[in-house]
Amino acid sequence: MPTVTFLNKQGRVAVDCQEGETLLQAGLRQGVPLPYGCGAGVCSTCVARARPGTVETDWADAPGAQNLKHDKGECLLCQSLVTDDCEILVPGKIDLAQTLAETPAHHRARLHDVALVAPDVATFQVSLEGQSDYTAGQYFLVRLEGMQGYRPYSMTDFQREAQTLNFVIKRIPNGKFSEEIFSNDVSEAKVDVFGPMGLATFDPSDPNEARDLVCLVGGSGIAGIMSVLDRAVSVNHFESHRLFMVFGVRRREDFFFLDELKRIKESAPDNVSIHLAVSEEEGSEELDAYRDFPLHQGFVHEVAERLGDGMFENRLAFLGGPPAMLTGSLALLLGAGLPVTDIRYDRFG
Amino acid sequence: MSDATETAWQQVCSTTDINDGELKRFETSEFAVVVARVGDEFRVIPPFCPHMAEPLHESGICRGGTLTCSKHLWQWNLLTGEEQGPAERPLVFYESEIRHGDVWAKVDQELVYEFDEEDDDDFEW
Ligand SMILES: Cc1cc2nc3c(=O)[nH]c(=O)nc-3n(C[C@H](O)[C@H](O)[C@H](O)COP(=O)(O)OP(=O)(O)OC[C@H]3O[C@@H](n4cnc5c(N)ncnc54)[C@H](O)[C@@H]3O)c2cc1C
Ligand code: FES
Ligand code: FES
Repeated sequence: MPTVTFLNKQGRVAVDCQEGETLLQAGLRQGVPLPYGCGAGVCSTCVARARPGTVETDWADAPGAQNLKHDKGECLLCQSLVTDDCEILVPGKIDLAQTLAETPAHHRARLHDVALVAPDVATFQVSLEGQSDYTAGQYFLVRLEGMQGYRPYSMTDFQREAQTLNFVIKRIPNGKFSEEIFSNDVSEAKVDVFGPMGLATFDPSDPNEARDLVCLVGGSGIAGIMSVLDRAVSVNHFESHRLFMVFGVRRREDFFFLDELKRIKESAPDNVSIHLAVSEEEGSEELDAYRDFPLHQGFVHEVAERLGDGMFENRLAFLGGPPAMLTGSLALLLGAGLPVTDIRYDRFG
Repeated sequence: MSDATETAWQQVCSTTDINDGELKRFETSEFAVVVARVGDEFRVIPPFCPHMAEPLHESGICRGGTLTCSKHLWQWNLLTGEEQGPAERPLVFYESEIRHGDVWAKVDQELVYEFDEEDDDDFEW
């Protein structure tokens, strides 16, 4: 088994690399605090350097690899494989001598129970051969047998020692994984998964996070935030803290998870304030079964701006959704004086 | 001012092209720059994030004199270029001034961030 040595000015650490696993997976699995965002070739956060020719790239056309300086040996840790011992220079001021408190792992698993919950949105489950803990807001990398590459999906609830992970997926036209899920015949499929991953997390047992929350979410970006809210309800967080949430989709028929949001509202009706937004329809009348959720017209960050005067101070914020919504929401929260350390999100793309 | 110095300066945009708290990309004769406005102050910066070269006119958010890159939330004081929070590298500026309502900058040499500064002595490519 090849040995990979990660090094920078702060130190060096050597780990084993299993056949077929990426350098990022090898490092994280053995507790090395490597930089990453998506784990899937998109964000380029995991750029590092290897001696030219010592690593193989699994996906040369990855969006995150577009600006790599190949002459300097730059590679994406999440898309690089090795067959021999190698040294990897990790940029930034990361202390490689530190060890991650919780480490992700590989699992064999079974994907099943795909269910349509809105015209272009489905839930699915992944049952692990073993079990896994995770922190609310995290994701797993999922790879369908026979398909190249892992895709990240955020868990939609909070469990300890989870054996069955719950996900939600939006249909992406011509997206390989999503087309497979929406194609009707994937009643059951073998998958490899790696996780948990992701830093946009919520831990209400940390005194710093025992706070009021604000959640601004669009479409399937609600996935990880459902996990955050599930965790909050599990410790009766909203008995003593407030939630301000705006959940937006294009048209009324696109809403999903409203029963789950109702349960969150009912856990502490006075402290939980959930608003719905539609961007492509006039929103005036509330949805019949969900009269507790005022319906507005506009994009999530616009609705939040209209409603949220004085609402954001000192809150911990969770965002999820398409890039324009994230940028708009971020601008709103920064303008309201929230420090970046109190604003958490994963970029889906 | 000598001719050489004078040609090094170029008019980048009008002060009315940019609203308070906005970042916009402009082309000079040789390369692109981003102009940021904080109140009545203007700053002319390279168009890329000092972290991972994200195009700042898309990823940058300017609020209350602080520039935030939405990619990994590095932040800088827009008036001084100083790092804030997680940022590990300062923002650099082109020398600039306002002449008759236009933003002028000294763009004789392109400013680029040195992304390889962590290069390790053990590594000789
Ligand atoms: C942190 C994070 C969390 C996410 N959570 C969710 C969620 O909860 N729900 C949801 O619907 N979406 C989520 N996404 C988006 C999701 O991961 C997929 O990008 C999306 O479902 C489209 O996948 P696709 O296969 O249909 O599209 P495709 O365009 O076929 O592929 C999209 C992604 O698959 C990977 N990929 C594609 N081809 C290759 C290859 N040859 N080699 C290696 N990798 C490849 C890349 O990551 C690529 O961006 C998340 C993304 C991120 C970054
Ligand atoms: S973590 Fe490797 S590209 Fe996002
Ligand atoms: S690219 Fe701008 S903060 Fe990372």
